[in-house]
Amino acid sequence: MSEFAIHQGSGAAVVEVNGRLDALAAPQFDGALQAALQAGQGRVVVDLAGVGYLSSSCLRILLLGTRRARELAGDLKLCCLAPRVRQVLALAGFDLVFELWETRSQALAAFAPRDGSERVCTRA
Amino acid sequence: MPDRFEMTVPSDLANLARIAEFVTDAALRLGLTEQQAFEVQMATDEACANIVEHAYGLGVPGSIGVACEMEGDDLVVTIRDRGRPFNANQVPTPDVTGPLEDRRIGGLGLYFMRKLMDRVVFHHDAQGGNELRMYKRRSP
Repeated sequence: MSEFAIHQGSGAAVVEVNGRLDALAAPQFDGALQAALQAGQGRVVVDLAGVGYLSSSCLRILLLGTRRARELAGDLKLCCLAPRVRQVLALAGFDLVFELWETRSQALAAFAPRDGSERVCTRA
Repeated sequence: MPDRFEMTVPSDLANLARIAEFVTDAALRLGLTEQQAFEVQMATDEACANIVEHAYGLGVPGSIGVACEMEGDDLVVTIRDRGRPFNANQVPTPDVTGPLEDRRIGGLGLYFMRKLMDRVVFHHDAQGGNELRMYKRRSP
């Protein structure tokens, strides 16, 4: 069984996932993302350090979660991906639409405005 | 060493992890690399999730048979069920290059199966039910 923990980080909520992200885990994963979107006001980091497998059903949850986050003027960022999880993302071309970070602190820092100035969004 | 591995499980998402473990183990025993075994496992997981969710439907009792064997240089995974027939031609091809807002949600599972395996063949007959055969070439 997969496990999900939600932490309030600085400026964003963090969802920490452990286990297989297969079709069985999808509804629970969706619930955890929704809770984190609420806690982080649309700003969420998904920490995948404990995940060795990601299926298409959970990719869909990530896609829907990212759309929801952007509707809330936030974003969803992924960190700590195992090589095979990264491979699955690349296969679906999702490495082009998700922001991927090596570490959780890098992902959290990416939410913070620099030098007190407004963060400039360069995404098309 | 046996040259064919076979298991049958009830149609339930809770059995996906068991199927994944079984297929990975069989692929490694049949001489595929770790990377190839992962890819076979993933294609099988997507196929079996489709069977539980769509061929039978969640909560509908049924069984799924999974077999792994070599045919020449190919590992062949055969998956059988007696749920609704599946028409792969009706599944839209997902967009894997467009912006996030335009991405369709469906069709990724079948797309993965075709990308990860060398050949994917669906067959249905009224008596035998559904049979999916997926081929993966073993590295020389």
